[in-house]
Order: sequence, then structure tokens, then C-alpha cells
Amino acid sequence: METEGQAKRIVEDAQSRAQEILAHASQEAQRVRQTLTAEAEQRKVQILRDTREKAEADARSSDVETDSLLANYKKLFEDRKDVAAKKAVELVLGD
Amino acid sequence: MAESLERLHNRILSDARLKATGIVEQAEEKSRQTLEVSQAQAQRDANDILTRANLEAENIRRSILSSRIRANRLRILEEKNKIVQNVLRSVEQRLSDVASSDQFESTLKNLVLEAIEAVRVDNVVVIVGFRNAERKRHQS
Repeated sequence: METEGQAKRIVEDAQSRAQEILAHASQEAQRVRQTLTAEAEQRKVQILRDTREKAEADARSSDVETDSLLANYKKLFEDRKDVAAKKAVELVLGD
Repeated sequence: MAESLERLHNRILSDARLKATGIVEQAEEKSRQTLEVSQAQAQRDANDILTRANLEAENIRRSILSSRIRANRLRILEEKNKIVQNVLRSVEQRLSDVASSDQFESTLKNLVLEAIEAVRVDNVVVIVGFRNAERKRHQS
């Protein structure tokens, strides 16, 4: 009887150990999932922030380019508006 | 008899240890599989998050740039329109000034002749009338 009891304890200990192993695996799986998800979420935040900053910078470049273009238009117009008006009048009058 | 019992005792314990080893090994194998499956699924989920993030980033980029580019194009169009309107006002003023200059008659005559040529008819009589002005006849 003592031997059977000893054998039963050996098996029960193994079952208990198996449950611990499975529980640990489940916890580890959960930890891995949380780690990967958290890393991906962090990366997502970084991607969105970088993209927004880059787009804003590109938009500011577009503004600067447009400002420069408008300044050129105004300067050209100031330089040539009299000539343009004179030519238009000549066209109308057929001079 | 005692030796036989000892062998039986050892056999029982040996079988129990064998079974215990099998139970633990099974658990370890299942544990390994669980971790592999879970890690693969977590990696797919993470990849999905990043794929969606890239799509969202592209939408944000397009939204920011397209609205700003549209606004800048509008600014350019408005400036061009201002320039054209300015020239038109200047031209209108200059044309208006012609009416009170000594070029008026010759200019009017040229314009009328140009109109007649455009209409392509013979023997035309043109009567030009102005408010508060005498009637004049111009022979071409």
C-alpha cells in the first residue's frame, strides 16, 4: 500500500508540475502578445508622428515656395503693368 | 519472497516515474506549441497594426498636403486675378481718356472702318451718336 501511495504521489506531482508548466506557458504567451502589441502600438504612434511632422514640413515648404512665387508675380506685374496696359489699349484701338 | 516483493515495489515505482516523465514531457511539448502559436498570432496582430498605421499615415499625409497645396493654388489664382483686374482697370481708364483726347475722331473712324470690314457690306451709312454731343457725319 505504501508503494502504491508513493507511486500515486509521483504521478500526482508530475501532474501538478505539468499544470505549472502549462500555466507558465499561458502566462508567457500572454506576455509575448502584450509585448509585441505594445511595441507595434508604439511604432504606430511614431509612424503617425513622423508622417505628420514630415507632411507639415512639406506643407510649409509649399507655403514658402508659393510666397516666393507670389512675390515674383507682384514684382513682375509692377515692372510691366504699364507696358501691358499700353499693349492692351493698342490692341483695342488697332494702333 | 522478499526479493520478489522488492522487484514488484521497484517496478511499480519505475512505472510511476515513467508515467510522470511522460506527463511532464507532454506538458512541455504542449507548452512549446502554445508559445509558438501564440507568438505567431501576436506577430500577425502586430503586423496588422503596423499595416493599418501605414495606411493611416498615408491618409494623414495626403490630407495635410492636398489641403495646403489647394490653398496655395487658390492664392496664386487670386493673385493672377488681381493682376488681370488691375490691368483691365488701367486699360479702361486709358480707353476712357481717349474720348477726351484729340485722337478720338481718328480712333473712332478706325474702329468704325474695322467694324464695316468685318461686316463685309457695301454702301454703309454709319451714324454715331453720343449723349450731349453734336451729330457728325464721317465719309470713309
